[in-house]
Amino acid sequence: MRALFFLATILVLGGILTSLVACPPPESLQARREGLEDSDLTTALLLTDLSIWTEARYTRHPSQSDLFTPFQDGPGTLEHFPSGTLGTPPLESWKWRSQHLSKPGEKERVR
Amino acid sequence: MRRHLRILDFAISGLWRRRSQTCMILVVYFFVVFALASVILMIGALKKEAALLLESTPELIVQRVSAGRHDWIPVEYAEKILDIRGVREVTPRFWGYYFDPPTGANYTFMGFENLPAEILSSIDGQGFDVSEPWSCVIGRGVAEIRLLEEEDILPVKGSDGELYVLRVKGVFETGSQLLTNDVVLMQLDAWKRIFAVEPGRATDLVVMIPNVLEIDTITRKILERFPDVRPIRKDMVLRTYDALFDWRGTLVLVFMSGGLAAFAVFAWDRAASLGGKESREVGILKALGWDISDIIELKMWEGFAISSLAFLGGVIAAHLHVFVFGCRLFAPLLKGWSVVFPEFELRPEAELLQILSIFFLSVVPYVLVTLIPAWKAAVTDPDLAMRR
Repeated sequence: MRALFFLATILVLGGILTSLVACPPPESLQARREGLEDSDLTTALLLTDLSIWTEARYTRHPSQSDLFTPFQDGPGTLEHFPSGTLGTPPLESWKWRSQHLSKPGEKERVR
Repeated sequence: MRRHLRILDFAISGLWRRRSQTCMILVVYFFVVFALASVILMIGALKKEAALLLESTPELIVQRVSAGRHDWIPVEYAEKILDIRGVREVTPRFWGYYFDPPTGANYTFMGFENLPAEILSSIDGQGFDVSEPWSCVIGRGVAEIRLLEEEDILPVKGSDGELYVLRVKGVFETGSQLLTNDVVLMQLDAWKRIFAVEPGRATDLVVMIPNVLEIDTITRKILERFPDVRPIRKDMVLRTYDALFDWRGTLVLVFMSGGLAAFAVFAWDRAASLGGKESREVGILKALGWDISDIIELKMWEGFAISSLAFLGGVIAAHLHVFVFGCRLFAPLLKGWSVVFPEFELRPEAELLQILSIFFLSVVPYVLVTLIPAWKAAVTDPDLAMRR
């Protein structure tokens, strides 16, 4: 019966997918251990960013860059690195800074 | 049960009779699911990787900003920040970028007074101590692009125009490439000489705060005392990476949207309109005594057969593409213009939610879209359906 053949195919494919998702290969566990060592490396070297895009300052350290770095060649220059084009500016820290800049009279209260 | 199996059997036979059409839609459908699943799995894995690796990033970094740009920070700021209650330690960081003309690559140079002992297990080589001022430990990417091994030399042109020669005393292991691929670690004095940094200046400060509940207050106090600094909290670093990968994934999906839209039109056209032969077939079936529900079930089985095969095949292929073959097809998009790019292995973990979302995006709409024409054909008079 074609129906049974089809259902068997679906079951086999479903089984393969389940095994891929539920049981990651052993090297993945090894990689996880290496990941934990990497995490120690983060502490030892006080690292903040991943070494993926090394083409420009603001793509090498996206979390540390300022909002003007992409336009480093001069006022009015367009941002031109492909990775930068595909990334978002680190707005979070700048928003926080502008929201929490002290207002008159607040200095004493905070201290 | 037997009745449903027989209807499924009939549906598979019908698809087999129209095998050229079925194969065509199956292949297109497979590639759409494959591309969609590859992007979703890749972005999910990259986000998990970033969260795992940056889990122990410093709680607070303080940068000095001058005219909107990152500037050297005076080390005496560290002493004043240390006075703030709740701060355990303030450590200056010394790092900068170096453009290497022979290779056209950018490296990250980091200066340390003493090489942290914890990293010795992550490097191939003995490392260096204070008695070796012009020694360095390099990332795997630097070693590969400059063809360097332990005890080789790495000439560097300093800001003063002089050529400084660093001796390689260790290379980071491949497993740490995602963090250290372009890194060159060296003695602090050598670092300062190369970049001609004035005494008493650092790149930024790392503030250790044991109680995470105090981070907000301490950050505000630092801003009160030093209006020219920019504090970067750990959660901002993590959120930056989340946003970055989300944005990249969305852009890939936008690039793919033309293809997805074309497939949607194609699938709608194939599934939503019955051709002359199929319409006649429905008419004959009705004339033979099939109910409306039987015909709807038949069409649903046909839709399910095509979409489930394409879904399972596409997701399995995407899984292998991302986690076994290192996402080769999308690597150029990720790489940009980076000369030194790490080889990294993404880890398949907790993908169930992503796979379910792919299922609801691909299978469910296709099966639903087959229902309307099936119902329309099923309620048509058999004689009229056969004459079409």
